[in-house]
Amino acid sequence: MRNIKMLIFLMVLSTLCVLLLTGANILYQKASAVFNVRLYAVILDLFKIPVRVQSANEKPTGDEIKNVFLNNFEIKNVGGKTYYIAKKKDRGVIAFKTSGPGLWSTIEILLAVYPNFEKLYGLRVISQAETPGLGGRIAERAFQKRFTDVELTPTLRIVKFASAPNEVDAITGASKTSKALEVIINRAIKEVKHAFKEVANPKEERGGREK
Amino acid sequence: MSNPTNSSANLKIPKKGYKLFKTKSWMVFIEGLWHNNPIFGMVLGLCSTLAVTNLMNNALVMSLAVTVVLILNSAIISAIRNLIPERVRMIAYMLVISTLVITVDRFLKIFVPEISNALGPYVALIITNCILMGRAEAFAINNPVRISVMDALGVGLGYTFSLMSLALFREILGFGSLFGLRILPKGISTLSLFSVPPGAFFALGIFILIINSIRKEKTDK
Repeated sequence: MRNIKMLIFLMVLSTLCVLLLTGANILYQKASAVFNVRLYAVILDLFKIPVRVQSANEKPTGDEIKNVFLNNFEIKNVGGKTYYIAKKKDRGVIAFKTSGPGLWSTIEILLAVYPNFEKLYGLRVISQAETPGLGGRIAERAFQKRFTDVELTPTLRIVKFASAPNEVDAITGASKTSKALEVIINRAIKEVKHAFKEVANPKEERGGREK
Repeated sequence: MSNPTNSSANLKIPKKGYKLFKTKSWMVFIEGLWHNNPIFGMVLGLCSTLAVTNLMNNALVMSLAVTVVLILNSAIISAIRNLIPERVRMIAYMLVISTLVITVDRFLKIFVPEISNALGPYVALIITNCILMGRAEAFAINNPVRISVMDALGVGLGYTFSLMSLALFREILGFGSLFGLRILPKGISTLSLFSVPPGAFFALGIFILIINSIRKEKTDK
């Protein structure tokens, strides 16, 4: 009798716990869907693809953004990372999210490269907490526009006076944040190149690893 | 571990002073917050303490997470204390604690993703934090909900206080900053020893020394 009581108690308790966890997980998945929509909106903005809204005054809903995004981009998982590849406008351009340490904070950026990996299509800063007024200015649109069509060979450089096609003007007084951003971008480009080469020539890559 | 047990019956309720300070819940609260502080008094849950107190932000989020889980856990365990069969009470604690911790972890991932990343596995490891098990077994299983919640609140705030004071010390010395904002001038070099877990041992030792000598002075009087 005592054993049965124990069994029933544990079964009821476990069931309640499972129900609570299921609820928490559903909430979590819904919330992460919202994060995805935010990212989609940033990508659409970078590619200058408008989201048509039924009534002129209202903001587009999450579903509208998602639909437009899925119409224009292909989502591809390579090596555990997610890449968004343009299907219509600027076909083949690869967009992806990356992050790295800034001076104070983690800088999260969206990068888009042309499929030959020789030129940057554009850059958007998703989140950062650098010094307001100095490094924090990387969040400004004007700074982000400087990255449009910058060449990536041999590497991208953020310098005082940009003169070469692979150079971008840094922010005055924020040399550390600028340097950090440069490191993040170049590392990310190297990674994406590597990831897509592996997809193109899987055998070659495997042979190389066996050595 | 000086005295990690409950023994709320042994608490001496002073005859002088304000009414609020004479209630049992207040005594239980102060007991957890100061006299039996989980870090400096009971010396429980040290692993995560040493790991997350390098920055104020991390310490704050971690201690809030522990406090929330602790209060909810104590409330639930004490509410169902008459239903729990004695032989499986540990399993019952584990079930409730893990459910709460996973839920809190999910919430942190949604609302403060950066800090959740910085804390790494330590939020999930709250499940194995002895403070939670300890309070459930030593207090909540024998006491009514209201007093158990006060006890959890006291211990939780005691934990918060300990972590924040350790982090204050370690972040200023180790990084020269506070809540991520630089406060020491750039020329001063920081002691990187305090930013790594081994340095945390020294910091914790110094703190326990100070707190215990204050306590001893009081009892000597």
